[in-house]
Amino acid sequence: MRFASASEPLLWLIEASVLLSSIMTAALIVAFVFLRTRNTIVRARQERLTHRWRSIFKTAYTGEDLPEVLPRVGRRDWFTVIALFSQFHQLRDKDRDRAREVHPKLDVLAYDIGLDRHALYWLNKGDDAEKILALTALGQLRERAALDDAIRLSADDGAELSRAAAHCALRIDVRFTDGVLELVRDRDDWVRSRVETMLKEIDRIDLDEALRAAIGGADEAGRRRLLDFVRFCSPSPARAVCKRVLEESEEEETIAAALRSLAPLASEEDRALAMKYCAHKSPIVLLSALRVLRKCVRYDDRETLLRLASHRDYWVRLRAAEAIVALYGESGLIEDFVAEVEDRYARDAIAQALAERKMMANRSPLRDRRAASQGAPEARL
Amino acid sequence: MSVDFHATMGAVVVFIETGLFFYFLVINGYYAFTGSVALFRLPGFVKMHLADPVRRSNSTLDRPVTMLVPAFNEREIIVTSVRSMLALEYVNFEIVVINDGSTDDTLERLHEAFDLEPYEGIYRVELPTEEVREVYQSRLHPELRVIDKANGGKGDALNAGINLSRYPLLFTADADSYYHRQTLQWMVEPFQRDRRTVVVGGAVAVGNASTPVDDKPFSPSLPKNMMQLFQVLEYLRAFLATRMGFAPFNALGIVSGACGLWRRDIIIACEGFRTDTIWEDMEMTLRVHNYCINTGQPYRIAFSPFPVCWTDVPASPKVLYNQRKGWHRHLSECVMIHRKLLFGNGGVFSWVTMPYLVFFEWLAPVVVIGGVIFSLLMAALGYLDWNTQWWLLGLVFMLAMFGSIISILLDEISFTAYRLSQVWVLFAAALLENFGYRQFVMVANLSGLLAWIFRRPIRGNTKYPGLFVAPWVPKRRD
Repeated sequence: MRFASASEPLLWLIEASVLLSSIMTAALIVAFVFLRTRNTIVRARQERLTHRWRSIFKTAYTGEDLPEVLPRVGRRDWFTVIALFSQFHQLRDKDRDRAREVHPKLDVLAYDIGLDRHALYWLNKGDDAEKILALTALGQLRERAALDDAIRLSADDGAELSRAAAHCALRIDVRFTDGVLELVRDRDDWVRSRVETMLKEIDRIDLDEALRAAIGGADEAGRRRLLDFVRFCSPSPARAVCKRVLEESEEEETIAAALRSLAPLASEEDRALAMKYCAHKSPIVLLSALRVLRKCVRYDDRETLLRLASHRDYWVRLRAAEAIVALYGESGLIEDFVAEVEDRYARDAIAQALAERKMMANRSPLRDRRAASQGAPEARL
Repeated sequence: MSVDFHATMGAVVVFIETGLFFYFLVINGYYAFTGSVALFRLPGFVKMHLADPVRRSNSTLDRPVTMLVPAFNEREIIVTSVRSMLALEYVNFEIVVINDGSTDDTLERLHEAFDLEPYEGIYRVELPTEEVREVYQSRLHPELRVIDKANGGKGDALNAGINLSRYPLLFTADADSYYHRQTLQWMVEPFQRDRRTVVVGGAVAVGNASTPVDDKPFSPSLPKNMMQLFQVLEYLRAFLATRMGFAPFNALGIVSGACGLWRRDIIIACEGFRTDTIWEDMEMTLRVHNYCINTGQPYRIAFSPFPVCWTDVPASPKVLYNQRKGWHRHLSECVMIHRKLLFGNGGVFSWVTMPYLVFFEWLAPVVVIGGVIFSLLMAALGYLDWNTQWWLLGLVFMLAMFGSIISILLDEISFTAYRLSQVWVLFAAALLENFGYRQFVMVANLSGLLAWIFRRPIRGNTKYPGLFVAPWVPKRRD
């Protein structure tokens, strides 16, 4: 006897699905073949293009003769050519002194091929990546015609685009420094190491002024963001900014940020300030206050340091211990001091601080680490 | 038996068969959705990188990172691996290798290569672990420290490493993986872009057959071993299609243990890595979701699609079987520990990722293997016709191929890692994996599920909670 079999609608559905998924899979394979072919052609073309334009841009460094007629850049080749131009414009450390010689040559080349025109076109019609690339190149060219667009784009929602636009505007007109600092103050999505690159291009005197102005109109979060970059200002205005924030702010995080920024610049005259904040109740303020105190610590401060070396927060204990270690330096008296410390946690913290001092003193720079790696043939990864 | 019974039985069988059909459709709908999201996002991502690359930065503003490298019997690879990590281009990082009770000479090799001496600092116990015998520091590279401890599993080793770590970001690495020189720069950036970021997962690729080149760590080539070749496809699907698809919705279900960057304070708040589970990465990812959702903390788990980590994958069926068995057992542990997240208040994560994990990953071996047995049996009994079965089988194969080809396409439009000849090999593999490999993996998964249900002890721990584990909820802090 034959029982019921799968219903016709189900079979129909399955067949239709197989058909549909087969078509989709086949379409994907066709798309792949198309893309691969296109990519292969584009890549081969780009390799030739890169090779050709590398040798042209290289002449700015080598002093070799340029070809009599520069090759025409096709519409689809601009991305590669502008990216190459930007790379060549960014001087490596060994070429840094040659900026006055190399940059004008590169700039003349760029204007000759119409790079500025295409980059300006992209500022309005390109996608985000093209706009960023154009902004980088136009900033390197100091192209004034791009200034308005750059300022407009610096208000864009996209973090990368707005930062690249601000950088471009800054390169074109140093008067935009104030604007940049206001943006740094207001944008918490800008990658700080990239902001650092930008701020390092600003003359210190301009930066000092702009930072002072920006911090004046900042809310607490903005102040904290700006304080991260105080280290790129001249020491005296930097100290003044930190102290002003300390006078005006009551939020713990802001106070801690101001003290943290003050720490590398701290001197004897900041000792009273450090001691004042060493009595603060918040661990994050204590941590930063101890950083300042470490720079100007005196034997009279031992009691405060010992008290903090027994604090309930581990990191406060460690920072206090670091200040104690800084106080005794290499004198060897630290062992006697530790022997007198009754609190076990304080003793542990001092031992840790001593170990870390040793670790930091022997820390190998990046190039040594790389060399160590390359020294081992099996480690050439 | 009456005709009525057979008619009823037939209707039930057709109903179940229809359910199976829709199950396969929905599971592949998920893949199609995440694949489409990735197709939409990846080209822009790559172009953006070309326009604005991560530069070799020596900025002291970059947040310092502690790399945690658990090692258990890694004598062959440990020295090479640590050397490659020391060569990473990042301004401020330290490496903590945790020798998790190796029974071979892993520790001796580290001693020999890096001139270790006892560490004079304090080992502070924030997270409880198995006994720590000694902590060493390298005389050659003071930023390298080694913990020698009794065996307690990877989670326990990581916890020991966290106890010794000094920095606010923790990178979990595998001793048998290799990393791109700019791995840390890549992975730290999302933390700077979005303050809510608590974890960043990196993309992992198969590295077995790849040739070391100086600045590009690997020029990708395909393994000759078929088992490994199929895994290349799996990694492409998992990282390019699935994770890239889930990440924009803050719905990443797993951050790979071989390449994850975690905020230290979050791991501590989550009470560290669990030691009573067979693995640790997925559980910690779900725990971070769980913690942030339940405490109302705004958070983001980001994903960096650039392949920065290359790992060796199993070449033998036995090793692969055990690996997958372990993975599925871990998945079982995770869905049970975090069951309250399913259809909970976690938004997309609770309503999309968790159902995906539960219904289409965790229960997949039961549904698929059960479905095949059911269909064959019912067809043999005459309740289903063979024609339908062949069509259903064809559909499953076709949808599987579809998923694989999307991943190959994603690779093509993003990184174009493989040469054309290699891509054809991958296409062939996408077809061939349906004949044995997928079924093999499914059986391994089922075995993992059964091992979990029957609470086979791990690492001699007979108190393995298995099915009866309590759901994890974050402790309220004052």
